[in-house]
Amino acid sequence: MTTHWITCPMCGQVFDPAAHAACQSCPINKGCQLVCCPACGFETVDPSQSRLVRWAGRVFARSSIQESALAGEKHFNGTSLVDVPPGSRARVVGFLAGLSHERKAHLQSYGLTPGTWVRVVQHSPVTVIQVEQLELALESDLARQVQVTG
Amino acid sequence: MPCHSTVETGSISGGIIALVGHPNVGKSVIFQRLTGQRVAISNYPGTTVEVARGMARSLPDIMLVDTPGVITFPPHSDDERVTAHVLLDEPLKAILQVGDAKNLRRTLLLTVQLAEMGLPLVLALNMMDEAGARGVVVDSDRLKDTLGLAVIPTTAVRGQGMDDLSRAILSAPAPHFSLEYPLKIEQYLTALVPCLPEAPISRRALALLWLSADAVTGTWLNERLAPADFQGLFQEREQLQRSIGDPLSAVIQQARLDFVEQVAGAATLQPGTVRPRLADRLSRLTTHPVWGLFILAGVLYSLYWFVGVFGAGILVNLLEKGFFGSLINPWMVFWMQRLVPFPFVQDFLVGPYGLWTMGATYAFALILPVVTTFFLAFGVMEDSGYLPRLAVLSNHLFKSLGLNGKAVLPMVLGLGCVTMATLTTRVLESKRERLLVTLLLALAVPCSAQLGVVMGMLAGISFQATLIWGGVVLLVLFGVGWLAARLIPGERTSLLVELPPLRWPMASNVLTKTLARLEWYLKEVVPLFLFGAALMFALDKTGLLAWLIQASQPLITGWLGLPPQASAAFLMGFLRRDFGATGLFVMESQGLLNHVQAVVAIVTITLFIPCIASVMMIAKERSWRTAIGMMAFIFPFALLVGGLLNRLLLALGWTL
Repeated sequence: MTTHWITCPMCGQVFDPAAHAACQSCPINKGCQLVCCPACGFETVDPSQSRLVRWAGRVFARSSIQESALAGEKHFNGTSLVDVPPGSRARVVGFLAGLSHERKAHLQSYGLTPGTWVRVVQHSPVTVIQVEQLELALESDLARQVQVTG
Repeated sequence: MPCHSTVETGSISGGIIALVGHPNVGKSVIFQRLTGQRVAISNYPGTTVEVARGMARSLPDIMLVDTPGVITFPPHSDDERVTAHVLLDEPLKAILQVGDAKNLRRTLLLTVQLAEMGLPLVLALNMMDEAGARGVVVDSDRLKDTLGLAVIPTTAVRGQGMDDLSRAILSAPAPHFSLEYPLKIEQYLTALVPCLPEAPISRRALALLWLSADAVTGTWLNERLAPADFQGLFQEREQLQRSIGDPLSAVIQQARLDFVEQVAGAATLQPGTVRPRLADRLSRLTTHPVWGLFILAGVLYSLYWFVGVFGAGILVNLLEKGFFGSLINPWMVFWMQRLVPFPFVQDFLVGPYGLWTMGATYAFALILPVVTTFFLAFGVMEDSGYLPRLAVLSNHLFKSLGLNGKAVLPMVLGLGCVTMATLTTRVLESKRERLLVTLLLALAVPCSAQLGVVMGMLAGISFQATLIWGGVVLLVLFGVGWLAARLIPGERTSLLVELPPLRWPMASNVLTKTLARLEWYLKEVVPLFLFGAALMFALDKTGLLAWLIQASQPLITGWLGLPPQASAAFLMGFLRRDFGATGLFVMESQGLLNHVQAVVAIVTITLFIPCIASVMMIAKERSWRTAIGMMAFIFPFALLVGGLLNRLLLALGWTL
């Protein structure tokens, strides 16, 4: 597994959580998901270790935008709209062949054409994107048909 | 080949001008600004789509037609098809396109197609205020020069640019620019254009619509050409299609997109920023998986309060019991009995099933307040832009019923009035979805009139009884919905919906729409009530009513296990299920029903068809075959569920 970095919510120090697991001497250290910031000692959670925290992060969009901003474009190597993390931008490349011509024309008439930059707002409950100044909600099976690059 | 249209600067006086544009770009506001109060809204001939017409205030003898918003053109939905009909069939003098200044590419894609039609064209670049707030700057002079048409920046809600717009309409030139399609298409167009009949729009535009396989154009040509000629056109199109490979409409669309990209790129001085404003933050929250649900709950509760409690409760009480029950009706009965010498005619007018005492009283005292409050609330939701967000939040729930989130609207409205909700199934995309929702509405969504009676009865029994009633109805809703989605052929349409910015609704616009819709209600729905009353009167007088009550007794006593008196209540339920419920309520208060019987009877009556007016509405919106088919399914099915519940409750020995 490649090292990933987290930001201390207290002082803003960026560090590798694997190298700074909390208190080795603590009796309940095993399974403990807390990590200590090397700069200020603040105990925080490594989001990659806790399912619940990741889920909460996804549900509450604000934190997921921060997360994705941190994760940056590095983690984003998907090829369709559903792979674009919320808060990121992507450029439309084309549509998969499975998309009916009618639906394709529908998407195009909203301005979703090759070369256009779109901004993904959220994926749950459905995918919401911004094209120019227009917001569009589309179900994931449709979003999957739209091919994009980062 | 150069563009077919010619450059001409004429002055327009008299005639019809069509307003065309995407949904939510302020078309109806501009329409209202230009026409004032002199507006008539009617269904477009042969369809159920509303079209508004009005004489322009400051333009001599010009009638404006406000067409339904188009998302795609060539059209895909019923609404869009009406716009195509207006363009092909009305003797138009000019077209006024209303476009969104902040979404220039999308606007221009439509402009290009309208410009090809060769009619004088004016582009109102509307919502300049919203564009400005987002930092979008468009060079409208540049657009004007490139496209050779009048481009007027407007902010319709504040009345800005309206005078310029009126002036531009009077002296609008036909646009001059040429959009070249790929060579093979151009060659075909050159050959085809002379063979086409004369149309209000240019033949080149007509030919392009034909190539894009537009159904409206196809029908239009078929009506005007000899069968052999039409067949020839068809074969030539097939031939061209084979030689090009990609769908023709896609090739044409791509050429337009490329052109628009060029023009829009050059005319956009600043693309705008994504700095979120307060409205954007609020908009974010309305589609948020958690906060969105809280907002949804608040909105639904306000809707329920305004339509269900205030409209269906307080206002109906005032009108039905107060105004009609103790003032108008006794007065009418008194005078009718004095003035009309024949008892038969007296009964027909003011008897228990009289045109006035039943038909008109229902239409004006029971339903009018409900639809008025409903139209008002609906207008506010429509204009604020909240409706599509509702679809986003509920999409998941409706997926299991083979529907998408857009179905939420008719279903929620059904809790107010099923007849009105059946009408709003128009917002759904496919025939299949409209059919599914209509069925579920007629079967398992109790309307507010009935809900009141049912809740009153259940509250008198026990909480457990309420749970059983709710459980069975929900089970039927999802069970039948799930099954019907698999039995009715066709595919589910995935949700694809535009989320317009949240806006403050304009009071005058909401009121105008409400008034226009009320006029429709008075003209088209009230006669249904009168017909229903006349039908009941005929059944009663011919003795059929008594016979039916007699004949249905074995079913009521044997299968449902109810006392014989209940059959009269159920028969009334055929006409209006809340009347059936009221009949049961009276029986329960007389001690004729025990708890099990009461629950069985309420469940059965809830599953009945709402009322005779809703049957008429189903027949009008779908077809008589559909309406009869639904009745043939729903009544036996409701009785089946009631009987099964009766046996289940007895077998479990529950006394509730």
